[in-house]
Amino acid sequence: MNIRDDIISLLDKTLVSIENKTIKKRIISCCIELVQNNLKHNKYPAELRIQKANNFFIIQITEQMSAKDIENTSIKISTINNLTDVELKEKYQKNIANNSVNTGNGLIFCKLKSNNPIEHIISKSNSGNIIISKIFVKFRVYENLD
Amino acid sequence: MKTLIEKENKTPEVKIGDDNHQLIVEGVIIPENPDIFFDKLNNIVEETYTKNNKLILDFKLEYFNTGAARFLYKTMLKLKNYESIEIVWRYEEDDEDILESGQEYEALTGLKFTYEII
Repeated sequence: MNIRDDIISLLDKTLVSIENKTIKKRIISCCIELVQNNLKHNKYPAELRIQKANNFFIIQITEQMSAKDIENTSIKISTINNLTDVELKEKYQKNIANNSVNTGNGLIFCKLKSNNPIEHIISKSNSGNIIISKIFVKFRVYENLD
Repeated sequence: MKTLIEKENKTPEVKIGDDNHQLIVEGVIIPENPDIFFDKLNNIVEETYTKNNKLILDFKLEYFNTGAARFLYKTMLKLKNYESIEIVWRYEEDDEDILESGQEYEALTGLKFTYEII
């Protein structure tokens, strides 16, 4: 199944183990945002992973980026992570009201819905010519039983 | 009810009620380029209002992406120029995100929303 054609159905099947409907929906929504960010802004394809680790579901999107795009993405994520939820909501709504594009609203959405900072790891290939961006969005989905 | 826009993988169905002034938008809005769908929707909204001088815009949305969020706002904002407008915002009882989205649009646009649990 092509993720572009039926992303919700594909993700729904992948996340069948999540009982909390709100969390599951938020994870799906964030996946959509991250994938569509790649489709809209990056000429290189991305790899999307969703993994379960301890009490978290972690969305990871890995993509090759230009140096300029990496810098822009890093700045956006850093800015987003340093804002409070109230500030983020205001920024999100202001972007909506101003019809602003390319302002990181997808990433703002992911931060708000996951309630965790967005992690961003940048690495270079051995030759140094290829720069890889990895974005992680973490959702706590299980209560700690310890 | 008559379907005006068929549902697709990333865009919702738009139907018109038998009263001819209620437009129901049901499904998901997650296309990469929302302008194509919203151009059609906005034309239908304008046509429906022009014929009837009133309009109920009834939303039953499951997901919408941040791109669609901008266009939804613009569509709703245009309605401020009309009289006899009602916006119905439907949500599942445990879907606090969709409910909150409706409340945010209500606050942003100043339009009066009616909330219905489905």
